[in-house]
Amino acid sequence: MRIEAKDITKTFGGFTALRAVNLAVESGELVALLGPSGSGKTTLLRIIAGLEFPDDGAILFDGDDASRRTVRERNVGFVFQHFALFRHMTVFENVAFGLRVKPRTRRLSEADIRARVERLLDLVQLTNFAARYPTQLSGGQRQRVALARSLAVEPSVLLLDEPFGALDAKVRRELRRWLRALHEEMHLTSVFVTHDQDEALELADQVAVMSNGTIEQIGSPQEVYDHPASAYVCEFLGNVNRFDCTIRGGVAVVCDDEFMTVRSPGVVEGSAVAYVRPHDISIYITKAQLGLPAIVRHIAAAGPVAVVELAAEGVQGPVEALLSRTRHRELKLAVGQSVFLRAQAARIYPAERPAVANVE
Amino acid sequence: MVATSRPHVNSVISEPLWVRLALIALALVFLGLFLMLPLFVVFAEALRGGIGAYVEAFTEPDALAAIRLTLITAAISVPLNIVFGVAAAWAIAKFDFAGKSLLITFIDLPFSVSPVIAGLIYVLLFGAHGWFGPWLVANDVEIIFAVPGIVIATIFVTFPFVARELIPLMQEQGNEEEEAALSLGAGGWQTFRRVTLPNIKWGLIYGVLLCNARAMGEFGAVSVVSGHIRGETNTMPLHVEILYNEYNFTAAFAIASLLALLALVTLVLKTVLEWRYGAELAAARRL
Repeated sequence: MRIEAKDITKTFGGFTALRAVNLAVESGELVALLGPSGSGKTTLLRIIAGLEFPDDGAILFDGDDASRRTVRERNVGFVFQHFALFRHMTVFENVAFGLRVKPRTRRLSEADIRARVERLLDLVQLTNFAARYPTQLSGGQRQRVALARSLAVEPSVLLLDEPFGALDAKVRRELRRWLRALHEEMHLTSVFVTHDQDEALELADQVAVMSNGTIEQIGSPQEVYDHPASAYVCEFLGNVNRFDCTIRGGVAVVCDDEFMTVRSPGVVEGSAVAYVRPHDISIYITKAQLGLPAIVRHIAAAGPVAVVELAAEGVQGPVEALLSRTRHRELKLAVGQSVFLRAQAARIYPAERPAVANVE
Repeated sequence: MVATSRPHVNSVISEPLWVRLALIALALVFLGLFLMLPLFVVFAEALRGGIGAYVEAFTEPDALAAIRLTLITAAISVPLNIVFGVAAAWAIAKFDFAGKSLLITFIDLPFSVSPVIAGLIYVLLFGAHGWFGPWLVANDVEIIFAVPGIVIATIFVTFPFVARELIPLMQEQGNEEEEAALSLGAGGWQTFRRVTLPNIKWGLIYGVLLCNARAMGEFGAVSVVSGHIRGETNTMPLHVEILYNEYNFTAAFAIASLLALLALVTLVLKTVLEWRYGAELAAARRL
């Protein structure tokens, strides 16, 4: 099912949660709504579900206006942030709920209900927990019950509100992979809300980055990561180092011309902001050609890459650089050591305006 | 209210033995003096004239009428208060609307107003010289000094019990389960019956028990509107007073012992429920 949100506006009292938001989710896609809390992502999801109604705008399901339909009529599966399992029902009854409340004429026979619930419990690997109550389950198990329950009614759309928010890191990673596999297997159109950029980038086909009730950018994870449309998106997606820079004659001098100069046609002359990702910063022990002097403040080498925190001359706040393990072994860095930095790539934004220049 | 098993008392935070004993003794003496002793006296006085006199006190026609009226009053006012209470708690806990805090204050009104005033309000409204008095007389409707007045006064006095028990519970539980039920295709009534009601079941039972105990035991408000017509508008508490004023102590205490018994039964039921379903209760609140 293709979902389209058209000019959705929603206010709560004096607070504008969404301003004329447009979003299209193609059939079978997995889309992430990514943003900090208060950006309107959950409100948008609830409006798509029919749990909330927009002040203005329309929701289209496969081109049909669904704006007036209630949540009951939209046939969506909704997984709540805190799962909202029925606490007085067993796992089995939770999953069976949607099947049991159907009007008698459309209700499956008891045997068919039983069979379908068992199949779903098998799918979420909870067959042995059918007789348990929600309080007797771990967070990850509850999450899977919530998912099975929403899938029981065979929804055409699956909506998930912070699906992994209440889980610890290890379970989260496992469930993420599992959900991705499930999505591919069931060919559902899915939308999930998250504030975790790693989650969005790893899981989704399309990421919609939200702030202040608007969508800043929509694109594939690689698109939004490599070509952020604004300083905001750039800053929100993963770690970046932020440097003040000046632009003269179409050339940006980042921090110091020793560090980096980039051609940035189109960006207004004057002061601007440059973002450099930690993996785009190289460290040299000796000053071969150019390089910004810096001092190593901290090294965290336990992981796939070494994270080096530095204090650079003339730069406020720490600079973060990532080194491959090999490079880290070569350099043999020590805390307090003097080194030289070069930036390999930077993204230049005029202060608070969309990007024009992108230089690699 | 929830019965939980405590872990073994940590010696660091426990008081010296004599302090504990003194505190326990103090509590027991207080309980005995102010609660157990009067209860004992009620039954002792009631049985002073022997079992025969005790039984006779109930079987006398006026006493039977009083018991019947008390049961009728409770049978009407408790179900009505269940409906009102659930509706009010539902509205307050699940929806945002202007004047919500005002509504909560109003629900508490019967607790803060003296029951005598509650009775008087209805006399002023429905009495022969009250606002609606002339119209009621003209249409031959009796409220004051009749059963309807007693029921109305009882409803007023017992209104908060169910609602107050449910509001915090429902607020704590939030809307998510109901939303989940709706998103799974359940209708409004199905959602209420299958999701909301089971979740508030225990709070509701408590509320009903307390509401019932008060409905049967209410004196002040009912006294004002009843008119004390023997065999017609006397409830059990009123009947006790009349007997007592007539120096018929044995009969007064006999009826009083019945009311005391009701209180005990309520208490026992409540305890049994907590003991029997303690785990389920705790679970319902935790998730």
